Amino acid sequence: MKKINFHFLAILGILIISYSCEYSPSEIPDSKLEEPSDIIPGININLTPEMDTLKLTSSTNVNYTVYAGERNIYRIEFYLDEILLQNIGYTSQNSAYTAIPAYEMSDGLHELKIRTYTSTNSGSIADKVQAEQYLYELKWPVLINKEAKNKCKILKMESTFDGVNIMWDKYDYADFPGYKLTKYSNIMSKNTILLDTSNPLLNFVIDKSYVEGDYCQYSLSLTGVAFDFQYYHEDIKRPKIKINPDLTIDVTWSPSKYQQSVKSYFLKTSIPQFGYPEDHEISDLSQTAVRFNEKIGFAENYEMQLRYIPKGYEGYNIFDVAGGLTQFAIGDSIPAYERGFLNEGTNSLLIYKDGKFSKYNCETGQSPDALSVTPIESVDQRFIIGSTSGNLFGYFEDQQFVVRNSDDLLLVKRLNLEAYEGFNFTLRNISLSDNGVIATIDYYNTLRIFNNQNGMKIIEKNYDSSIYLQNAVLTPDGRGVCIELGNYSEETNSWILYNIELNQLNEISRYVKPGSDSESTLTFSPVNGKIVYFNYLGMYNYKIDILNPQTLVVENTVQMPQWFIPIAYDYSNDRVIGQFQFFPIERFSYLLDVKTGKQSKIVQFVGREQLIFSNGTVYSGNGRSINVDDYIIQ
Amino acid sequence: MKNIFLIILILNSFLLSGQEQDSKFRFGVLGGFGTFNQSDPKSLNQTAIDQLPFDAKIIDEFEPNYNFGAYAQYHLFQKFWIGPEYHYYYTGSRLGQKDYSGIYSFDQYLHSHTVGLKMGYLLTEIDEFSFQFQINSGVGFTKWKMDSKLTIGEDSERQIDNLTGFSWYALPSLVVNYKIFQGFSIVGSAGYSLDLVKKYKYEANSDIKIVKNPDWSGLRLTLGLECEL
Repeated sequence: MKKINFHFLAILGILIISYSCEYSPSEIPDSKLEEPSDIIPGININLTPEMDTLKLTSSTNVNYTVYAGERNIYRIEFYLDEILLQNIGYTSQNSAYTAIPAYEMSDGLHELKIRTYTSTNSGSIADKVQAEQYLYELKWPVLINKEAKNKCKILKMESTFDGVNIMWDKYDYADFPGYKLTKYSNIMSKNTILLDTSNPLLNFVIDKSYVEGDYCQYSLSLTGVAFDFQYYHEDIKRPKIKINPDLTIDVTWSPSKYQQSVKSYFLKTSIPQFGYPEDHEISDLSQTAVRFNEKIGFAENYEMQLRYIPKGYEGYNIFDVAGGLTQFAIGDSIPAYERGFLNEGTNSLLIYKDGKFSKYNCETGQSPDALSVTPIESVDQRFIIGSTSGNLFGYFEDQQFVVRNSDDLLLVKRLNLEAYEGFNFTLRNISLSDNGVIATIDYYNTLRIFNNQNGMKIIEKNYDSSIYLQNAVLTPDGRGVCIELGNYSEETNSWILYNIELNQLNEISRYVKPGSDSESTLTFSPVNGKIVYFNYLGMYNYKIDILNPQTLVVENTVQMPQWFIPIAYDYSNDRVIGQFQFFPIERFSYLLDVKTGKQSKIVQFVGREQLIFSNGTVYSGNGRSINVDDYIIQ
Repeated sequence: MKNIFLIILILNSFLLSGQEQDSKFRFGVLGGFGTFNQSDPKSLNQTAIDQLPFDAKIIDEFEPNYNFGAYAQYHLFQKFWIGPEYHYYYTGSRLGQKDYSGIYSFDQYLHSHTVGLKMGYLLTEIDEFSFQFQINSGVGFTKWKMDSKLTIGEDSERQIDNLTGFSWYALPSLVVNYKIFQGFSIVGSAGYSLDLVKKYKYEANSDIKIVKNPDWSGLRLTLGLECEL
């Protein structure tokens, strides 16, 4: 039993030893590796857009590249307002990008935080399993302003010593594509790029090529972002005109502020009809005066246009410019008018301009209160008429004929002259006597006469188609009327004087000339009551016939020089002015004394303004008057 | 369960020897020293070193180690003995790295219980010495544990993989007995164990095919006490 116990214990001991014995690993020695320094090594970063504050107007990609030398870049994280962005992409291990979703962010200041994790390269276990890393954190202010695009405008354009300084709103946002400022010059008729820059801080440019007078358009373009344009011009200072006694003119002007851009000065007259133009181009920029040797005429305004011709311009110098225009004319100033009559009794002018009737006293030069009416279009102004002596005048208003007293502009009467068919005006001519009788003829060959008391139509006569009713002129007292008739079959032109009695026309006398005549006119002199007949003989030939107002017998006649057309008659002195209306132009006009037949060359009458000739003075619609005796050439 | 069966088997053989004192029995206990080939586990260490992101080095690698055993033999006929034997072997390896930031280790634990027949042939006897040629052969049941652990600061990760398997072995050896006194001898032997057929499996997933196996082949030197009944 003892042996068994011994054996048992021996075996049991072996088993216990066996199960308790197991491999016991040795200790792992410490590698004695040094810990990395607390001073984190530097890194280089490249951040685009390159902005201290990321200013955005719309969603934009942000690119971030980090250079950490031999150290590995483990991870790059973007946080926007402390929220980790998931939409991150890598172009390489050390370069990442993300989109800033500006469209879903509120305007204002935000913060983009970029975290970079790099290895320490300490060689430690933690380093190798990326459990030991350097963390770099970059904070980037983000300013969202979604309205910025709409606010990028040209701010101002101002003149400087060097040229025109164009300034615009600075657009230093991330999607800045570059500024391109383009100038369109009206003179050059082409676009020029003044600035093409990628510098967002450069928000002005000086246009050193500008010259005054040029109408420019400056266009600011930020491709795909914003566009704006502004027009700009500077007026050329008006040249000064001095009219010499011999009617030549001296012109002086100011040089351009931008002399460096000017090639030459160009001065040219704008002339009225029958005038003579003249121009000068002056390349010597120090010269600021020139004489125009073409003598100017009377009765319409001239204009002197100064242009600064820019360097590089090779075209005709006729382009439109701003400013530089001076009007000038011969004579003393009077009120300008579109239609006017002499009021013989008061020696004043009754004039109409721009919807206003007014009086102008020829002796005092005063203009009392005016009367405003519905403006009358220029084509209808020929139906603003005065009576023979000018004591009454009339005009159409609201399809009715209004007669007023020239003295005080008070209403005399308002009547229907049957002048309209619907809205169509049918009258060809109208005549007003000094006592208010009115005669009209229309396109239907009908003569109508309205009395002076209540405006009743007292006569209506229609002529058949063989007769052409050309004109009707009432005598100053309204008791008679001169009617001009063309007879197609007889090929004659007749003036027939009728007496108006008991609402009947009684022929008193007649003046007949062969052939047709649509140019001759006839007036009654407010001075002596004689008939002044501007008798057209054909081929720009006129003679002035003085007819007896009862018999129509020619009492006096005078021949106008050929090509000179009578344009104004002085009833006080029986003198007439003839204007040359053929080509080539003669640089003078004629003054004819009808009584004596004396012809005098006087200053050239130009243009088509209405003239009033009285007591030796000619009043022109352009607002000037002259005493013709002062302008006699020979 | 297998361990319990093994213990009962050995206990029964000793109880049997105690009951039959007239038979020529002998049994002994052994302690020894052995080397182990373990080429595949070594290659695993190298693979681990190659794959680690940091430098690691081998601390231990299946060093020669002690082993223990016991046997019983029956004198079957003249000069020939046969009987069961049991032996326990263990070894292991470690590789790793340690620095200020943490420590990493990869340990392999191997231990094997072998059960087999111990067959001896008496070559000669000279005075108190006798010389035998023996062949031991049987099966070894091996447990193989791989334990990897990484500690960085206060954070730690560990993975343990357990494998089991068996292998057939054959151990030819020369044995010298020195009789101390009647019935007790000191026994010494030297031989070389060969692992023959091996089969292992991964405990967590037996479907995984194991292609690298422990190899217990190596020199065996033992010294023990033998008692004859």
